[in-house]
Amino acid sequence: MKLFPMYPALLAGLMTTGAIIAADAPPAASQEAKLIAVLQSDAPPQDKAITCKRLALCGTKAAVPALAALLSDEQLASWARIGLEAIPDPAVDAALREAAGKLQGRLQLGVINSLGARHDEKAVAWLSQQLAVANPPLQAAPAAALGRIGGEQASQALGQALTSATATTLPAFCEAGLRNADHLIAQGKHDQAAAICERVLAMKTPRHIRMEAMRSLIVARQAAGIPLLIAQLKSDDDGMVAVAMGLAHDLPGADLTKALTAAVTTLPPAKQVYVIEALGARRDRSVGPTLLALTKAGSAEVCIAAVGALTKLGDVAALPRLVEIAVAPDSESAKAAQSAMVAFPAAEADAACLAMLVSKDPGARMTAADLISRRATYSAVPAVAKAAREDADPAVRTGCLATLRELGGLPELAAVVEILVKNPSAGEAQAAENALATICGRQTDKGACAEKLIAGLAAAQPAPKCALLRVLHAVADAGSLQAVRAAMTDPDKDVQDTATRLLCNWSTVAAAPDLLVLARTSANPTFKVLALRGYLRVGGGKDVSGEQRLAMCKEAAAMVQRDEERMILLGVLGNAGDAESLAMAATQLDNPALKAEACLASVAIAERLVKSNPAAVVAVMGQVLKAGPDEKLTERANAVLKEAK
Amino acid sequence: MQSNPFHATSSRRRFLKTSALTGSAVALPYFIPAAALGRDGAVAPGEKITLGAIGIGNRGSYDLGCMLEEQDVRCVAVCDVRTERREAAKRNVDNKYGNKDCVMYTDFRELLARPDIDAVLIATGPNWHALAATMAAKAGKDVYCEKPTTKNIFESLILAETFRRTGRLLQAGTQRRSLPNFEFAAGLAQRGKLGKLTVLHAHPGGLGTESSGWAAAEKDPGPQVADWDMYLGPAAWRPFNNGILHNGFGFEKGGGMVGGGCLEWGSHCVDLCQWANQSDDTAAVEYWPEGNRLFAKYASGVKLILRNDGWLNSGSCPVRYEGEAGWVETGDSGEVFASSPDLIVGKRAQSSGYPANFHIRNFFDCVKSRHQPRAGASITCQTHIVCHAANIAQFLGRKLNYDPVKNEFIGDEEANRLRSEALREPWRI
Repeated sequence: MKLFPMYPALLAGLMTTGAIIAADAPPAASQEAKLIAVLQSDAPPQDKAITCKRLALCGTKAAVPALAALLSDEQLASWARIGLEAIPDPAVDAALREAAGKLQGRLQLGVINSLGARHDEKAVAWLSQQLAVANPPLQAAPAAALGRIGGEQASQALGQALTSATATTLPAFCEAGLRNADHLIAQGKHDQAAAICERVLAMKTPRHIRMEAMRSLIVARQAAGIPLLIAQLKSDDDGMVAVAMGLAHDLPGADLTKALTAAVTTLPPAKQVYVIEALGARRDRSVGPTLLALTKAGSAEVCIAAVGALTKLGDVAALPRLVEIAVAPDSESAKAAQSAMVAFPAAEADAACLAMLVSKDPGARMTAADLISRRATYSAVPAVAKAAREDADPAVRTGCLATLRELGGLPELAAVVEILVKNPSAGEAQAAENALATICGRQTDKGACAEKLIAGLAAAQPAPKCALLRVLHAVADAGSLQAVRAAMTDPDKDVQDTATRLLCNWSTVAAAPDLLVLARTSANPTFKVLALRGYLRVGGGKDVSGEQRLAMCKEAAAMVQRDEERMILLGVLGNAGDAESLAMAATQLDNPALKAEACLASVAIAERLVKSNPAAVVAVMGQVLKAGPDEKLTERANAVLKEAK
Repeated sequence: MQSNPFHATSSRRRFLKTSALTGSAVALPYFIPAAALGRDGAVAPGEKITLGAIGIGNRGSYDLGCMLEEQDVRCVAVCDVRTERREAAKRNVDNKYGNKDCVMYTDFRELLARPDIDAVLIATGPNWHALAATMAAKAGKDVYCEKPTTKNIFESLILAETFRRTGRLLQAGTQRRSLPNFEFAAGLAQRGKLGKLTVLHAHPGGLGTESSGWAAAEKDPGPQVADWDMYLGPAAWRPFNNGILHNGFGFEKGGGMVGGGCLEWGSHCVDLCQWANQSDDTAAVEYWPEGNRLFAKYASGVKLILRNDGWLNSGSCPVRYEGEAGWVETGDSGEVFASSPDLIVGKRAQSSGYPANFHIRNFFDCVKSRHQPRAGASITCQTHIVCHAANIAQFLGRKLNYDPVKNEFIGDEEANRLRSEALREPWRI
């Protein structure tokens, strides 16, 4: 490849991404000159291509001739236009116009597109000519360019083109015309814009084009377009209804709001819901009374739509009606109103829910409890706690407990404990226990939680006492353990049983001494087994040191009598990394029922031990391999054995 | 009304606000009898939505698979420039319906010309997304389009403008807008549970700004394998190259010069931040790179940070919203982390991963109801503008100020030049 003499050095300085576009470095004239030189060299096309892009960033009038020279290059024309379109100098437009007259086919179309993108008004005359002389399939590009450029002359050209449009060119001409209409609207030439739209509407065009034309026509007519919009709403043409609805959202103005408000009551329900939604979205509170009336007058769908719109308005005047619907017998409307209350963007909605909580209607009070939960109204929690204790209706009390579960904190624990201790119905008791467990689960001060729970134990009957113990088991701090330990000697057998089982299932190693005693001394064989398992489980915890784990495993090993517990023991040993644990695990390698677990534990220990005590590993790995572990474990055993040797 | 696509109109901004609200976490159940509309306006109930699928690679196959599960959807046509993918897609569709009816196209314009098709899936790769989506809208189709949906700021504005003008519906493939953990977290921010928002965090999935460039020429296997010219489409010409053909995922992402940058996950995570911040109708006004992070600031003072590291164990595409009263963080793990357990007591919904089914269902529901989808064109436009502007700041290596009304960088001509890029002939948008 023949290179321009300065070319390699030039590229080294220019082609490193970011190097020439360093922070706060304005494009230097010297840099541009070097880039232009690349374009004018015999550099390979890929380098010229990237150079065109770089000129898009820093090119000036000086770069235009070099870029324009590439517009006839099949490979590089698209890259050159990237550079040219970005340079703001009018020299680009002149170069594009000149090229447009000389080029043919796709390359010409590309230049025409660039003229449109640059809004080159001086190109309008030539582009207009192309509408007449180009082959029909190629007329779309100049039409689109004229549509983008806009102006009187472009408008006239497009108007004439519409007259002679064929089925092939009509959609493109219409699109261009409508785009031009948008320009005219922006310039305040509404009548001219409207004329274009009306002309398109009168033509036999695809429906989606007529829809677009109608949309622009309504916008162009401004205030006079409002009756047209309303007429479309009322029409049987589905597409035009959609156009009107889009504009009902889109166009600002109190006059349109007023017209929509007047129209909504005259429409069939299927259309009413559209308009109601739009009225809500317009955020004009003057429509509130109409929407409130519609919640009473129409179908369920209309009511639901009105409820949604009222919520968007956020006018507190709507709250009483929303409450009324929300507490009505179960229905879709009631659900919608409840959702509206949840989403209502004002603090007054919190007060409305609070007021509902002391309503005479139990259903309303139930709804209030749910809404307070869903709105996460923390300020209402004391009132909810009071209702959970004192409401006359058990269902309401249960509902309030569910809300306390969601929103309650440490201050509410005493109240829920009090409810539980009162030995309520099964449903309330379960709700109270759930609330306690969830509230405690959220707290960081476990000791404070345990204190509140333990305070309730003394006065609690057996059933609530068991519930409190279950929550204490979940809290699992030192105070909780002490309380559960004490309950193991409770006069009530159910309490004893519950407390013992909770201890056996304790989650921390703090219970290990109690579990060991229980495993050794319990008269109940089931508890002995459960305690031993619990002892092993807490011994395998992450908070247990290796030394303590080994000691616990030794204790347990002395008591284990069945393979089920030996299996658990091997699982715990597998977390170790010392020679004694390895030796203990190896004792089960010849037990057919435990061979696989023993191999796994032995290999796992050996992998941790191999560096500090390779001799111990060598001895046991031989036994492991002899026991015939599975393929993967054999591989691991051989690997650790190799390392040990 | 302004026709300059760099200028947002007041009506459009209002419309955007509307769309944002209807897609919010607290949106009410909304029912529009589809009987009020019909084909070319919407699909009447009882009728199946007729679907065409354009660009059926890895992601497209997944999306199409979800769409084929929808009982009220009938896919009748598939299009891909690669023969192997086109035929595989047809097999999938035909197997689903137990017939041989699915029609294959290499040129998506032929598919768009079919008047019987109501909606299209566009999963071509980012090079084609915006152009194909706007052409589909102009052809009267509703569009589910994968992300990143645009290559630059100009395309973003044209996308919104075209869908507004034509009255068609766009759902961008930012499916996390329809997943419960993200909705819950956004809801906390929107309902003021975090106090006044201060900082939003989005995972960009990388910040590199690489151009797709011009790879070495290789032997073009011809249209029996792939139509290279249609593959390139609006991208500047370059010779056939297998690496490019097989990397539609990243080809021309973020435009030819600036590159993908934060668009990969940013189109999701920035989108989620826009949602939580209730700024779906606008973009941030300042952008700057700092260390290995990108920063942006909204006119309200809320800061947006795009960072790849320092996340909790929240999975891919995480976001974090911080306010004066607390914070919340979530991601594809479905877990929601918060500054206080009290903030997540109301969380009932659980999810994990990032399935698109809910988002796709929302799209088809909207095709019937004409309601704005959760990730409509206007929302998508602003999300992508934030990503593009951040990428441009990263590329230029300096702070940029952006006017979201005029849609221009203030006092920075270089940055403004990067807002758009010419399309290869004969394509135009």
